[in-house]
Amino acid sequence: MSATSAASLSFNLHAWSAWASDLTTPEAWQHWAHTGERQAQQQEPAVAAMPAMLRRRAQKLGRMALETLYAQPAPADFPLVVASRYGEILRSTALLQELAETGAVSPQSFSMSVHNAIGGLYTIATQQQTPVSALAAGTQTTLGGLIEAAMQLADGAPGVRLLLCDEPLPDLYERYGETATPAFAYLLTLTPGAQLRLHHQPGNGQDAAPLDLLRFLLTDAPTLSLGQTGWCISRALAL
Amino acid sequence: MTQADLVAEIKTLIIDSLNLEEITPADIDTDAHLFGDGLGLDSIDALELGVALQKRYGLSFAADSEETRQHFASVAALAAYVGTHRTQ
Repeated sequence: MSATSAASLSFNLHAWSAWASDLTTPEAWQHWAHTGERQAQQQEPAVAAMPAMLRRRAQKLGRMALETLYAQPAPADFPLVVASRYGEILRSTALLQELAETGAVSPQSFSMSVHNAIGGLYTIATQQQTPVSALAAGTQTTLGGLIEAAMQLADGAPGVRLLLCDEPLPDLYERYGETATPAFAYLLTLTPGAQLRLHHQPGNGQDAAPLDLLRFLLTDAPTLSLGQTGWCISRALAL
Repeated sequence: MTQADLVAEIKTLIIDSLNLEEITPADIDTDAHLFGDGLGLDSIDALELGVALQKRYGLSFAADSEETRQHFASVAALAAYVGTHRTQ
């Protein structure tokens, strides 16, 4: 990759917000980023900013994501990119089980089972007409989300809001041996700039989990491997 | 079961099946419109409620008929229909 095209995949982190049942404040996330410690307390995302008639459509992961979306200003011309490996997988699994057992599914739950449902619900509630993309890319979902956001910036967007969220797979999927990470959601507002850079560095990279990226952003590590393919994210060197 | 009991039961069914947070049976006006103005339910709610009524009372509804629309107009209309057509 040439230096010119690499430079076009740079951006600044303008703002962030994050929510997990045990980490509900920026201070708690900062503490986690530096110590790795999780808390025992478990809170429910209130999403008080959303009208109850719309909020009722979202389940727990969706509500966590909405909490992070409402926590930041939403400039009308900033597109939203939602990157989630499974989305509301507890809902999807329950729907499939219901279908197998009864031959019918809840229309309300089915209508919310598409991957862009949370982004859609949010833009309906806030009456925004900003474009929403929803993507899932297996273990490369973090990388996929960043690439999509960086591409939209390179294409002229004045800013991009990148939402990452996931919840642990239900026990049913235990046999597949996925690492269970407690449910989380976080939102990065990215703007044009050169503080952070996506670049390709052939070698033995590994796929970054979403929380690896957040931790990188909240600490001062110079580089994080994003994918087996060699993609990395680095901070601009102080000159 | 009296008609008043059935009305109360249907209100609870609406709240439970549609996840109406912060709404109690007392908040639902028996004669008010369920959709549009009134309670403010939408077309997805209509489908959901249809499935819930089907499961609970063994009813079936024609998908998009004027008659169905009338049955779903209010809790009172629903209770009248359920009372005379329920199979369970």
